[in-house]
Amino acid sequence: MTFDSARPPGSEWYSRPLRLVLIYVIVGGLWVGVSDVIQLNFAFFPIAVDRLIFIAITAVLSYIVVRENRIVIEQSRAAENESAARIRAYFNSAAEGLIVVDSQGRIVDANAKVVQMFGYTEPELIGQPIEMLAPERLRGQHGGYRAEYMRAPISRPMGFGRDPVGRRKDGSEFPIEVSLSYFATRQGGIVTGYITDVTERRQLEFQSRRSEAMAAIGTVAAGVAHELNNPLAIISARAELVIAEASNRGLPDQLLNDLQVIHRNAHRASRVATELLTLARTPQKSHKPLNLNDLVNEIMLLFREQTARDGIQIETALDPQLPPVSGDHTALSQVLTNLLSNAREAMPAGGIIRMKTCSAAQPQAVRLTVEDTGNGIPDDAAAKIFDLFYTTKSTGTGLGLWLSKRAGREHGGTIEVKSQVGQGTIFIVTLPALRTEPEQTPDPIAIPQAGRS
Amino acid sequence: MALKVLVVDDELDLVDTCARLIEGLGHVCLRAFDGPEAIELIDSEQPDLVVTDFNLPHGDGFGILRHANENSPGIPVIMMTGYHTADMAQAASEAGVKAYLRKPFMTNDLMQAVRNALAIPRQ
Repeated sequence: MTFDSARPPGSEWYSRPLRLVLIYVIVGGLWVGVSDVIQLNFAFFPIAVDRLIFIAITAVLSYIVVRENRIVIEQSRAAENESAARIRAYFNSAAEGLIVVDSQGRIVDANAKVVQMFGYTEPELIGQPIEMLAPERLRGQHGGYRAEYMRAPISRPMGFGRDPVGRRKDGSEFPIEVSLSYFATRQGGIVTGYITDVTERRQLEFQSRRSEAMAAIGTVAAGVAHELNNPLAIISARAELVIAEASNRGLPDQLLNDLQVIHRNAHRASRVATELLTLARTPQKSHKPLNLNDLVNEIMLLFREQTARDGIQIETALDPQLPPVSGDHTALSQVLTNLLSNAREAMPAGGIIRMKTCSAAQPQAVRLTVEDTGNGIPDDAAAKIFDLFYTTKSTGTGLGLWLSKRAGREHGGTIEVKSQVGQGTIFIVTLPALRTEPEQTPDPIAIPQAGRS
Repeated sequence: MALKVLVVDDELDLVDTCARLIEGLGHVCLRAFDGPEAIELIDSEQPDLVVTDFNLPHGDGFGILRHANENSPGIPVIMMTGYHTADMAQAASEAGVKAYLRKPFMTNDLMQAVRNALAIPRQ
């Protein structure tokens, strides 16, 4: 038949109606033959032809009817399949995990997001109890909650006052949010769970709580700094006055030494308050092009005398071709000051501090190293040296290097430490070099000399 | 020549300390412990230099600086503060203070700042 040519051979869809029609034709033909044979004593020919034509026509008509009907059924089935596929696609493309659970708590269906979130394949999930997605320690509890929910199923977020946790196939856990919907079906009630991975949101919340805490520390630190620095200023200045008197009158060295200790410690105490303030201050920085060589030279002015007194020599090797960086002057001076103070404190018996600048080719960066010949840091301490409030010094605050690391990060750079016990320590600050347009040499312009008249 | 220096701070001991240092340089020291007192002395005594704390009862260092600039133009002001931030240092520098000292300061730094401020002749 021509309209079936598109169908592959062996396709059953038309053979069944054809078979039915053929049965009809055979039964009809036999009936006509037998009844006529009996009734008309073999003289049936004219009447039988008539009846056989009728059977043939009705056979063709009924074949057409059955076939049309079948096409309609086929088409509606295809449309149904297509819409099911589309719904499946929606289900799978949802940004949230969708999971369907029957009244016994067995997983009936799960979308692609659930598969991705939990790391199980779909066949591994289907038919399993929903508790497989909860950490072992919460599974018993969850069964209880589920039974409770099924007694009064309403659409609601899961876990009031609790923080639901999901467990991946590999055993790792992550915070989730789940909202539940209940549907009654002929096979019994089913529950749909909408699962969101809230790892990122929780991290943001944590950070915002942390910055609130920092702001509170800032307020306290400002008060402390002010209240502390006034008396410290008095102690420090009076100690200096006495030191001057003592030297003038030729008092014993021991007395002078004691006074210097008092003076030094007054300044150290003030550093605690200053560092606390820096820790908590809202970073509002102005980044300007600056040259690390200049920074080193400025800091040297502050440190050279102090360190010379402690028997420490500072050597510098500054690259004159050093490209500039984009940085906040205060923050970077603070970093350098911290590194130098650390180096100094690492060498109570004196030594050498080497400061070096150079450019690093890949990626375009600038490197500053501060090296000391002190005691060095053991590996386990070196791993924690940049942690907040971590300190090895009885007098340390545990803030300096943490702040330095933070400043480095804020500049898109890094600070690393390398140390060998007994040999010394080297801190390496790497900052991205400022990309500058190739400078054009300006045409020399004659500057008119101001005439004196 | 002995010049008049006004020292303003709410801490008596600190004012005394500064006064000793400044008198050691051969100058005469005036003392004030809050904003209004300082302003009164600026008006009545016309000092050659003001050394003031930032945080003061009934006023602050910037108020004194403003008053000095308006009423005795050209009078140099040195600001001290125990509550140092980069913003404060910048604000002080923009407001035209001659020196900005963080507490605790080195006595040499204070004396140097006083010497420098008084070395520049007033217009």
